[in-house]
Amino acid sequence: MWEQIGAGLINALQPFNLFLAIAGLTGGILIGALPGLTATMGVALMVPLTFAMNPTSGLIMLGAIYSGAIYGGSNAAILINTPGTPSSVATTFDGWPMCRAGKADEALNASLLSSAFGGIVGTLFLLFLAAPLARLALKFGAPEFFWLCIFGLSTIAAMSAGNVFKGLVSGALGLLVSTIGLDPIEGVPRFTFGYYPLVQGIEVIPAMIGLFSFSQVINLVGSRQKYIADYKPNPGAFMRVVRKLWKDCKMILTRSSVIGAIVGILPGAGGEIASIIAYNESKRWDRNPSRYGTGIVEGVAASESANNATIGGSLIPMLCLGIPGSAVAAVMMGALLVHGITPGFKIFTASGNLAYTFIVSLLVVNVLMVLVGSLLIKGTARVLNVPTSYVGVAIVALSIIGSYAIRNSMVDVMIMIFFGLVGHFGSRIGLDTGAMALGIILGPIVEENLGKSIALAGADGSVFKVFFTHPISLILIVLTVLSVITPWLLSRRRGCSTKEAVDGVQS
Amino acid sequence: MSSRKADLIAGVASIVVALLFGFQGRELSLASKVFPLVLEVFLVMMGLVLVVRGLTGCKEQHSDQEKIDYGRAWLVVVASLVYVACINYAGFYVSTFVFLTLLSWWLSDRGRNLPSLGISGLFGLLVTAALYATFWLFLKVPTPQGLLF
Repeated sequence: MWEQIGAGLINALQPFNLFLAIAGLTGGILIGALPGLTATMGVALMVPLTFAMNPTSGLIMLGAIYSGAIYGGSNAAILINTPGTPSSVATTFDGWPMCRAGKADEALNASLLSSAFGGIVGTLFLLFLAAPLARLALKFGAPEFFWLCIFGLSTIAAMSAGNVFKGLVSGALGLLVSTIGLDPIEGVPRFTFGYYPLVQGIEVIPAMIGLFSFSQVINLVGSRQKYIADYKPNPGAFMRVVRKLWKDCKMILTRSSVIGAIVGILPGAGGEIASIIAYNESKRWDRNPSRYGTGIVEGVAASESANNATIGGSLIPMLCLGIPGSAVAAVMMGALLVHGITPGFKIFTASGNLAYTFIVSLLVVNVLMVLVGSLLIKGTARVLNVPTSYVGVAIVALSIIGSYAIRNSMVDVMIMIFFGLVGHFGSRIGLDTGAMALGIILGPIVEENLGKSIALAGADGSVFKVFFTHPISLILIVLTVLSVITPWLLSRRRGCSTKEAVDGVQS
Repeated sequence: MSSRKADLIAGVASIVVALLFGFQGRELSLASKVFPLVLEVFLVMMGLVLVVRGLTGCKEQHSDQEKIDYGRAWLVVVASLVYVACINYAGFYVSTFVFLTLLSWWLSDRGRNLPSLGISGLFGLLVTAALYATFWLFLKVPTPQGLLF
């Protein structure tokens, strides 16, 4: 194995492959930063280009685009409060407040370094733990997926610690909105309100662009701010962030990356779920969880390391079992099949050179991402020096093209504008757009797996057995309960400590 | 806005949304409506809690809300709707150029004069060209089509 890893490293470091990795990273970062253009779209668009290359070089380029796009989403999340890809929703929670506080450079560098760290951890999982993790993925049935999503939804309790009722209402509204369209169990149209095009359902990305981006334009233009945020280039930001991550975020980065890699291997569960769970866990284990959401490096580090770690994770079932763990992995699998290579355990023996070169190249790509990303940050951050009257209208144009591009549908554009208004007026009355987006993202997965689990329970004759006796389900239930009650317990404990300290001072 | 008023509006809104969905889904089979039904009941319960809190809570102010000039805010919304409508006729790129130029000119702090219109026109042209190069030439992502383009 080590020989193959060494040979893979030599292959990955060939000048042509390095060039493809840098080109893929640059393209991927730009695609990810554009709201509405997803990593899947970026990789799919570039697949035809790889047909003229040898399969190894083609895969290296696709892997670089995938990594770049998932990281690139954080740029828009930090600079304009618009997640470039759904994986960056949790990055807005702290990235945007940091940007507003004039710390855009710190946020962007934290996102870059955390993404690279997460990407490397995910790749190491792929390199050394592929077989056992692939077997674990096979143990995830509908009840386990249902509880995984409920665990993800429990984030709402931690996210809206100051106003849990409105957080829960926002999450439930998001879940309810996700039921519009065809019912996943019976295929019956639901909640179209007499408007037939709604049968196609509410696509996550236009809704998210509306909630985060269009509503933000209304706020920016309405508030008569001259610039989005005060921004002055900060030459020492990179090293300051390196020191901060090394000093305070080692645990956060490791935990979030492991969460990302494990969530990534589960088919259908991607960076959006991983980053939300990792953010929630970081907040839960912090000595002062109320710091989260106010603009701290730890929040950005948790979200970004987790979503990039899903890349390695999502490739595990694709390479080991021939089951793609994400839409991008499915596209990459298609590219492999076109080249006559069938994914599965045999790929490590029959096409070992290709498999190991590709995996090792992902390590190289994540190192290169720090260099490429640092250069691009210098340019992207300058958007903050453009007056809001120009940035705002440009965001509207980008929002429209991004919403349309998903399904080539003008209905999605109208949905985006509608959710922009919902996001703006909702936040005026204290509703949480993050919780709403979480509901819209997780809703279809929750409902589909709930339906399957109920059907299983019907066949099995016991709801209890299906939902509450599987070991993985039990672990997820315990984690969910802990996730909901820990913020409350910690706040009580801190309350007691404060009281004791005050009593001590008084006596 | 006081937090009481905000709670009251949020509570009533969630109840209204739940009832609307409940009314729409009344003829669905149990399998199709079990998940939405649970959410509707939950929303009504939470809505009632918020309404009660709005009616009985203290009158504290939202401290972190910026004042919004709704004249400008609605201008953006209406202009965006007109822009979307125009795309169906003039196509994406022509409509985008006109939208970017006119709205950035109108919202600009430089005043509504000819030099300012020139700057906005240049901005509109550059952004439209960048969008065309990125989406049409390089990525080949389909953009909305109109009758003319």
